[in-house]
Amino acid sequence: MKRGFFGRVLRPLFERRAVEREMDAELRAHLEMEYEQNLARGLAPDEARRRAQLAFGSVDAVKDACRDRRRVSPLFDLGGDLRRAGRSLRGSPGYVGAVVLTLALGLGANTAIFSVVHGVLIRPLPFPAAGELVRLAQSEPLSGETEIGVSPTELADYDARVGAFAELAEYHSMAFGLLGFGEPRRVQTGVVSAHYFDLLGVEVAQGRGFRADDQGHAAEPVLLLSDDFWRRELGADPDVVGRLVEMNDHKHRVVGVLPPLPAWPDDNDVWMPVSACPFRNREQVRTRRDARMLAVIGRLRPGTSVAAGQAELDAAAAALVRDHPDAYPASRGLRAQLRPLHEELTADARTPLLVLLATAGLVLLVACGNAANLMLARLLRRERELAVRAALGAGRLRLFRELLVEAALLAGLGGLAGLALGALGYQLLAGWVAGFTPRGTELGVDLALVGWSALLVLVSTLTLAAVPAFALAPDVAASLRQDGRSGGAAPGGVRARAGLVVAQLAFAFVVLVGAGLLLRSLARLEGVVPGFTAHNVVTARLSLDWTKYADGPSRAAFHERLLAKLRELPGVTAVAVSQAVPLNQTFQFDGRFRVEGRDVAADAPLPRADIRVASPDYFRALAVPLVRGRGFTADDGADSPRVALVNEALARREWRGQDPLGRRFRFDGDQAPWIEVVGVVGDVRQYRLSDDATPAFYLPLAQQPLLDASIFVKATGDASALSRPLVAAVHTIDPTQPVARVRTLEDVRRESLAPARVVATLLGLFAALALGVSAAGIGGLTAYSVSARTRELGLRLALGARPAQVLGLVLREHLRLATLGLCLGLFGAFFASRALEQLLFDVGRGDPLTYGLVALLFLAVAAVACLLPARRVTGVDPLHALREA
Amino acid sequence: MADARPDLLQGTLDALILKTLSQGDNHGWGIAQRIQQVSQDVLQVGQGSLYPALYRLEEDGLIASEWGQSENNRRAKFYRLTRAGRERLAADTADWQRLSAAVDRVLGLA
Repeated sequence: MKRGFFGRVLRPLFERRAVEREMDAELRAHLEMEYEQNLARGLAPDEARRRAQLAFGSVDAVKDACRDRRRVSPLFDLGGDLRRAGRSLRGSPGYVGAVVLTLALGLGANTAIFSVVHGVLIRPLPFPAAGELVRLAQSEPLSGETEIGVSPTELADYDARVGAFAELAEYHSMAFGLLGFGEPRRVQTGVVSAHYFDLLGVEVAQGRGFRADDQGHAAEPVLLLSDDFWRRELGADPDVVGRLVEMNDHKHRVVGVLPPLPAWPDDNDVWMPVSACPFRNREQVRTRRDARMLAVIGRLRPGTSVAAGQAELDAAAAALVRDHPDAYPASRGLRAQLRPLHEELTADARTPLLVLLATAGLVLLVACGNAANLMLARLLRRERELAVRAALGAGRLRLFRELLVEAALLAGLGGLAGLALGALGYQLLAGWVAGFTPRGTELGVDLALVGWSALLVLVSTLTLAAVPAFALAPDVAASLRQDGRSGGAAPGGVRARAGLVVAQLAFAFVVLVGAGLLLRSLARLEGVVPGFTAHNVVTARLSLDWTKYADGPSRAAFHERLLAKLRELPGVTAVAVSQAVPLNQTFQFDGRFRVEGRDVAADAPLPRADIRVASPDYFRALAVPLVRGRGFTADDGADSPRVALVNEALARREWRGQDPLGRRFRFDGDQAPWIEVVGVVGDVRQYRLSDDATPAFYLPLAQQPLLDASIFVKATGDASALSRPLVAAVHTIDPTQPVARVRTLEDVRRESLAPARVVATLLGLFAALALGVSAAGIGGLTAYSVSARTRELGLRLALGARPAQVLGLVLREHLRLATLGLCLGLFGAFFASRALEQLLFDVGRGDPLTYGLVALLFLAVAAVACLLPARRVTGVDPLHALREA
Repeated sequence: MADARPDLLQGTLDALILKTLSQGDNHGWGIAQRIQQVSQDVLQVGQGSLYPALYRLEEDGLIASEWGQSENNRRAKFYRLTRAGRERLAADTADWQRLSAAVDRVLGLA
């Protein structure tokens, strides 16, 4: 009071060590004087010292009291509090282990999930001023087309008409053969405007980027390599810049290597400017308004909002429709939309990630509840000590401070262990996230992650300290008035423990229901009959060189020779070619068609169906049933009458109740030849297991030769043994032909479910964790209450109750808590499951079977958790218990 | 920080310390010894009360301390009464006399 600011606040801060030393010296001097006096009284030195120490008592206690008297502010005594907490915790390693492990599991789960959420959803894209980046997409709302691409002509129009863009750039991706880096490769090639990377703000890691003059007519074709391709395929060759390689029969010079980037819009290996792409420079693409092969990205002018850009774009689209009524029929409509790039890249990952984050949060709550419960249990055991200390003048605030420091120590240890666990979990997650978002490659541990962990540790600390403090506060004084027996004295503490257990159980139930729903949904997906048999089929992807196989007959000849070679392999029962493997969304082709003899209004949209291509044995190799008519044969050649098969979905839609066989149709455009339907085949889930089969035509390979195709080889036994012979067969025909994605159809099917499986597995793990932790919670409570009530239970036994009755009494009491938790959990799960709806396949969010099974499991686990400690009741010796009383 | 200890006891220990120091500077051990001697072993001051009280009195500016040599040539921390301490001692003594006279009257001793 009299020393002012410096003396009262700063001095203790700066002089703490000096003050401590001084106090030490003073108390030591005191001991010495006592000792000397004892010597002077004629005591032996040992005895003199012993008595001096006895008279003095605990030096630490005196020092603590002095520190208190010095009114050192709590902040400045943190070291002392930590020391005290450490001392007290060292005595109970089991307790520390249990609390730290529980918290580490909860915090670790959160750290791992948050690292992914942060990397994908929160962190800005790795481009400067990424908020200005948008994607421009066109759709035909009236014909149901959500994405029709943009043609070069339209891009030029938007560029000229919309002022909101600082720049627009085009993109498309093609697979090309590349010669010159060892064996021939098929590379995914991003084809972009020369200023594409400037627009994004990406600087090359090596060499130079594209320049405007790379796009000139006579310019040398140039390439940029992606970081991933450079490292993976070229072993990070430092001399790669300047190399000449061959693509599409032209020399291309490698001018640079890009830095690591999101695998977006596609996972491209190399990039080339528009001028080097043979497709893009065809006359019809350059001039036709409907040659919509481009994706367009743009950078808004600084300060322009997406909404303002959208308004300008709407006007531009309306102007296009007005100026070119023939190109934009009123029946289809035209709409151009802007979508922020960040949203574009993360849309698919958002729901599963947020669900996982919320679940991890619930798991942490359960873990905190359990830790608080353990802490409370320990305090209840120390209750009399606390009561005595309170009576002797230890302030309530001071006791709370001790509690807080102990909680902080435990939560801090848990947080550190959690970071380690989280780092492990994150490794597992990183690969999985790539299935949802191109941002999977960008993940990493950074400050935000550490900050988030610190925040969670803080929250855990406060929960851990506050719950016991509030629960015990009114009881401490009461407990002093009790007799000396230990026993569940503080009713508030016991009530709080029961409340904690109920809350834990309720949260755990919510997580269990979520996991149950997702696992059932996954089982449904696994059980889907996809319309084909994946058994014993190996597949590979072949993309023929566009220049070497320039026309249909040469492509058809290649496939014919390959199929003949593969058929000769031992153990092969069928070989086939199709445009793509099933359960793959990357390759979707469709077209509008006109059915012979059926009138369609001039401006109404024509019906649309998927177009697939198959060689004669395709349906046999994949065991797709032929429902009516005939399949393709070797006679359906390029010069034979045009034929097609339809799947049942298309037959149902177009020829409801009629026989489709013999009907004719032709694709959009009046010049196309009529095609006769000769058979009906079963429906196949072509794109995803969760999507119903779409109406589709199959055209014979010979009449629709493919450049990019998938090969299928069906074997009598294990198909993967055929992988090598398959590649060898391709190379005997063309040694420079790359063979990609060799795998079995079973693998294809498994991979198609990988994202759903990971979400379900993670949620299942979380649920197991939550259930285990809360089972430990209710078990611990049972054990405590049994030991606290030994006297009462012993009395009951002595008065003639059978052990089973007493056991039943204890069990009933605690199972009532479990049931209460279950009811609250049911209520919570009913609301929380709404968030899952989007992830569920063929399972309602209120699925009674799931809820029922989960409730059964839940009660069974709770019963076992109660029974194990409660069994001790039967071992209580009534005489012993009574004598104790 | 609430304190459940009765004020009477605490104030009394303070007064005993101040009184002892009014008879000459002394260190902690000396103060304890002196109180014990003068009270003829009736009052024994434990270290757990003595030192906290000394620290508090110093904090309040009623006593001051400095390191010096004890009679046995040992380095010890000596306390001395400040002006404020002297005033407090006078006030405490008056309070005590009033209180003990009152208690005496109640108990019928006066």
